[in-house]
Amino acid sequence: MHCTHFHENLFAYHEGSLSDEMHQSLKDHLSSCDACVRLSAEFENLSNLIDKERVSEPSPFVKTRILQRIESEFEHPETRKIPVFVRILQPALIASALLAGILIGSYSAKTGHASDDQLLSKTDHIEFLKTDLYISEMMDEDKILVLNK
Amino acid sequence: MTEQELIQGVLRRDRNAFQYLVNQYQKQVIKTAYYFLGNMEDAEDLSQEIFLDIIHSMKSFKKSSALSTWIYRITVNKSLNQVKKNRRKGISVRLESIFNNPFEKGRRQDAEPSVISAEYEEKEKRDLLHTAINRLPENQRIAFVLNKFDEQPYKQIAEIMGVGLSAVESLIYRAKMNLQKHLVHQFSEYQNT
Repeated sequence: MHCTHFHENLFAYHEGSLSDEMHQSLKDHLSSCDACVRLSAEFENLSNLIDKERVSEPSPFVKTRILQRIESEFEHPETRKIPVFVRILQPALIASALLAGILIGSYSAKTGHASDDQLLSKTDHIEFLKTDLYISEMMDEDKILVLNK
Repeated sequence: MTEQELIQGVLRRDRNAFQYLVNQYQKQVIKTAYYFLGNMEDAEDLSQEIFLDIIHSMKSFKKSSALSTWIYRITVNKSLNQVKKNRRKGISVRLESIFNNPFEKGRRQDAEPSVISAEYEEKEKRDLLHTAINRLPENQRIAFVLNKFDEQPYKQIAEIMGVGLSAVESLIYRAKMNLQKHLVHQFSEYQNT
């Protein structure tokens, strides 16, 4: 028997699903082939690993974590399913509103300032108004004095 | 709670139904995910997504199969997608976690060299096994993992996969042949190094 014959029947040999005759013939081969003995041992190790994985248990806290995740999903559904266009559009709109505010502000700052001449004439105008008021008050006082007389 | 009551409860978003659902199926979901992913932490994280998927798609559940079979299908699909994502990410993340995890570092310093070498060897073999399994065509992989790891009978695998019994038998046989070939090749390389 050749090694390849053993290689081709590795699974079946270890599962014990071969005929008695075939099983015995592979066993005989193993008694005279070190390489196949090593391969058989490695394969046995892998089978044991599968058994080990089969009995692995999840963490005892995992149930709480799953339930918390479900609760948060249904208490705050908006956190999960915000449409893409809202997620992009909302900050874009806020950003453009801010930009527009800055532009309007800087434009009005440029055009809204009066020139020095205009300021002077405004001051003069106020002074004239004050003088008019003073004169009219004086005239009223004179009228009162005349009436009193 | 009957299966029907559970389904109605989940559809009503009833908290008790959620608890019952998780109680009943957490082991099945996490273990199946673990058999495909080969890592318990990843399986536990993925189980949260799987349960959310189950709840969200409960209204599309056709009662033509048992609820557990339908949950198996969702778990298998999500796990296979996760394996694909992990493969895209590469092994760098896993390596990084080994080197950056302080618990692992502490353990390595305290542990006996023989323990370290045994752990390392086992991890290497586990990686070898999962690499070989992940190289199988998807259908062969599902049938093999559900049968060998999850110990599901052929009939249940046929229902989960939506194929006939003979197809399952053939898929498992071909999976074993392919694995055998791959493992023999890997071992001969291992022996030569």
